[in-house]
Amino acid sequence: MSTEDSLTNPQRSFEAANVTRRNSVLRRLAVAGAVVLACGIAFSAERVWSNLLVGTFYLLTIALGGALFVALTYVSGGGWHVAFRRIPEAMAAVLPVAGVAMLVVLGVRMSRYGWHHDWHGDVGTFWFKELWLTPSFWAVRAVAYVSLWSLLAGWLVARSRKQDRTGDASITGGNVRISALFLAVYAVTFSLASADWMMALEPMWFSTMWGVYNFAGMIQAALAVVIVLGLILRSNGGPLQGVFNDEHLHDLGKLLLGFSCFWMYIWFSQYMLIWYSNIPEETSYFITRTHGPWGPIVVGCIVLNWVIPFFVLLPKPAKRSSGIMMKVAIVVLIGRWVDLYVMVFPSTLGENPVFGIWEAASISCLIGTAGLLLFRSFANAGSVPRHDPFLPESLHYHTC
Amino acid sequence: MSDVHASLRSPLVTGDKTISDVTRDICAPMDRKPTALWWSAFGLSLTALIVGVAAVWYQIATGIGTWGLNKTVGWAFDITNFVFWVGIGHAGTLISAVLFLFRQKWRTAVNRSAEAMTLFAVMCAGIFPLIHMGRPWLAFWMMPYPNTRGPLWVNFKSPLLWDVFAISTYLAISAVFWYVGLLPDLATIRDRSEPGWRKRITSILCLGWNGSARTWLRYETVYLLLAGLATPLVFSVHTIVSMDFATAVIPGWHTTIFPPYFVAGAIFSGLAMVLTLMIIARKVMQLEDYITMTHIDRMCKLMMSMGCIVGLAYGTEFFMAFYSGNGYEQFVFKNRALGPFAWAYWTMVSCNVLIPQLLWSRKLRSTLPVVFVIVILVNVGMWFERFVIIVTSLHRDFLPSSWASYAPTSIEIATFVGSFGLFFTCFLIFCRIAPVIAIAEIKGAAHLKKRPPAESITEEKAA
Amino acid sequence: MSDRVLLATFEHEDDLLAATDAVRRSGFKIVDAFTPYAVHGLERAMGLRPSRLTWVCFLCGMIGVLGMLWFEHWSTSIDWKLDVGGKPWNSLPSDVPVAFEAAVLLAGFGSVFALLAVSRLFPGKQPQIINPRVTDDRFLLVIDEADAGFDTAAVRKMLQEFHALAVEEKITLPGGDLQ
Repeated sequence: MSTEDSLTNPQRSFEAANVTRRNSVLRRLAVAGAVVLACGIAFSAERVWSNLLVGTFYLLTIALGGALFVALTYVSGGGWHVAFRRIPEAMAAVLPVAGVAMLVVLGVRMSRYGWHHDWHGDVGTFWFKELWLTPSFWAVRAVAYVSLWSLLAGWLVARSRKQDRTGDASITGGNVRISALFLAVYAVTFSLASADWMMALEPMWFSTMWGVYNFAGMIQAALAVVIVLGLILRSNGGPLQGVFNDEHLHDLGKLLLGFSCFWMYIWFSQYMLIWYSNIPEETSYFITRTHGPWGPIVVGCIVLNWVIPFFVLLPKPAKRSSGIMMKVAIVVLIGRWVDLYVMVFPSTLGENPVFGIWEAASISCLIGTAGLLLFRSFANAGSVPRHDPFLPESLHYHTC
Repeated sequence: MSDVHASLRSPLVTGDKTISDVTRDICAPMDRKPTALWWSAFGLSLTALIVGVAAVWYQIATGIGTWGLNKTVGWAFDITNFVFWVGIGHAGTLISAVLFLFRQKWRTAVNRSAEAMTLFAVMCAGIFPLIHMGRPWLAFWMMPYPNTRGPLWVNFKSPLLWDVFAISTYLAISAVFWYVGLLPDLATIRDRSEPGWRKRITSILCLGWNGSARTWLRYETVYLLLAGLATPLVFSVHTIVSMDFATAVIPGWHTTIFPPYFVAGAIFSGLAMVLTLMIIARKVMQLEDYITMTHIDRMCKLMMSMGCIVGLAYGTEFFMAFYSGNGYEQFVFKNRALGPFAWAYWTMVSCNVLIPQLLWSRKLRSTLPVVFVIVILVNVGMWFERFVIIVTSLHRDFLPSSWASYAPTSIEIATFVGSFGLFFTCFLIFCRIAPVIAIAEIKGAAHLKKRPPAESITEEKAA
Repeated sequence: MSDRVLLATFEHEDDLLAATDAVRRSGFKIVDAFTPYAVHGLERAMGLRPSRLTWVCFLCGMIGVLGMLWFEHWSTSIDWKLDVGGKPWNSLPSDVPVAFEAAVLLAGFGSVFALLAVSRLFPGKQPQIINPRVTDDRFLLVIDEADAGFDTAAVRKMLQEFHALAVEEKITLPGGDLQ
């Protein structure tokens, strides 16, 4: 039985030729994108930076989303996902690299954040904003967020990998506690980080929903990445063949459907409340984005992130079909990019949407880098947590 | 079916039960005469209900002037109670629908009573806006029917009208969900009852259920569909309730985080109420083998995480008020924490955020008296949350010359007491006439003991 | 369906599932099974097709959302235009909540009524109860004795391998009820 096979030989290598070809394609994408972007600095530094911000935030939130998936499933006592838990763990293990990239991108253009030159004289009721967005405090916080996430997620992943060697079942119990701690830290720091890095691009605008909105997009994209990686790793004799089965795919499909709806719900709630109350200091964000040329892009963003996943994934057979799930996950990942594009570009580059060589290069670089990092990270550990006490349950369960 | 279960999982049903033991144990309270404890609880609830009915009668006959509302504080006690009761109801849907979708099998022990609680809580909630209309006999005007006033259609742009649709849909779908869940159990009662009135009533109510596998397949499909519908519904209902406030421009009301924050708060308060009822019911009805300490533990954890989300939302609101630089927002939040209603604010923070943190300790989660005190405090805290949101945002608004204070009148308090009377009267009657645990569901979810076949065959022959 | 059926009683779902599977594999026709709770995998063992009620639910939901959106649009921007807070007559964002509720209401009631109709469940129905313990702790399998070649003794022996508590023959009356 193939399941037993891959359990006894977790390091079984899958078709070497395939992997080499995949890695070389990814490497080419990454290098070509990076070279073009580097040239772009000379032509349009602003656009290159905006692209880098979108790209690094994309990568970081995928890594963070992987850690979140691991932590949430630990604390909820779920057993169904254990067979493929190494995928979200691989995503979480990318956190330090993604975090450093984020810090570099933020660091090189801290001046891009408008508050550097917005304040003169008496601050009045803006005293807190001035204090909060003091550049040094802002930078210290960014470092703190990234290190906390990397540390806690790294701990969680390292212990799970240690279980492979020691077979100690008590590691699972300990990881539940670490996960609870991670979730508590994550909830506070991620709300603040999304405000610091994304909301502060428009320093006068604010929305209490912002953290939840970013969380929704993050978890949705992370699920899509888990699906894509799972499908790739189980095809053509990959290490998860016979392990990552249709039942897992079905459940991930349900979660993707659910979180697509959650994203739509949060997007709509934020938009509707601001539209309804019509307070000028709040509507500024949506006026730029829904009136004029950005309007159709926002509609496209909704189609990609909610309409397509919702209507396609509603029937049960769709959630069990590799082909459909792969396509929907890719649509969601494109939607995530568009979502971040709409978040960042109108703030940094103004009312006219731009899409050209720099954007294409940044996307190519993102796909290449993310792919290389994630596959390497996955290969660093056994492909199945073989001593996890919930593994047999995960391999044999049936979804309804 | 060879489901594989990890050895770390604790059993859903303890005490080595067989399938028929489950039927017998759960139906037992219905066969017994009510205890003295039940009668005294029922008497107390009924008294409270009568007090409430009298108060409602008086205020409808006299007018809403019997309330302590004034020009500035136009919403207070009644809307607080409305939101409080709607919130209580949400845990029922969470347990029956959301946990069903997440295949949390432990829910089978508590879903029936949690759903009943939802129904009764939504009924209680509905009373308050109905009275608030001033002329409740014209309530049907809220329905968009062709009329001789134009026809003047209802105002679809008003969040208060959304509320009408949301609450009535919620009541209807919860009732259907509950009833569909009851069908197989009603058939069980029919088949085990002696001929008589109970058999006659249950055979009408169970719609001729006979346990056919074809029906079960369709039934499971519809149950899944209803769970799938109830989950977004529960989000939408409290989202719409939150929009009653958040679409306004009042500082402290208008904030975009309100929809998810209200939903989390609703589930939080609802879980506290479920736990309150469960801790009493398992003891009084001797259902300790079904509603085990594991169930209490799970619900405590879930409740605590909801409490943390609510705490995060409090923090976010405060943070954004200061970050935004909006002087009015800043004033409202300073006024909440330090103004005349600071006592209410700090009651809310301690009961909802600080005290539930005790539940991080496994030892405290398994000490029932501690859990009981905490859930009562959470109930209190969540009531105060709505009170704080409504009253503190209104009593000092943009115009200092119209600042006022607010205190409830005896009529308002009596109405609130009456709503508790209605809730507990209904719940106590429910415990007597329906199986408080979903029999068919728990049989399917729990891995019950097998008897050696030889023994059963002898028994069958004897029968 | 012929007029003779074989009725097997089991005590555990595993036995019922295994027996159902074996009976169907041997080419016999299964009339129905009766169980105290939804037995997972029984539909596969019996070879039943998945229920199509999900489509009823989806269609009702679509009718609900589109119908209500149309009605909100017609009543507030065509039939009686009403200026509310300076908002446009036709305001999609504020039409969404009620349209959503209408979708859920119709989808929920639609699928429940479809279930009752398809399963012929209605108040006052007097179902035939073969064994009253089927709603308590017994699992029944009803096999059609389809042709003259039906070897009752052999099937009985096969069922006993799956710990059948009792195997008996019944004659169906006109209308499908058992004698």
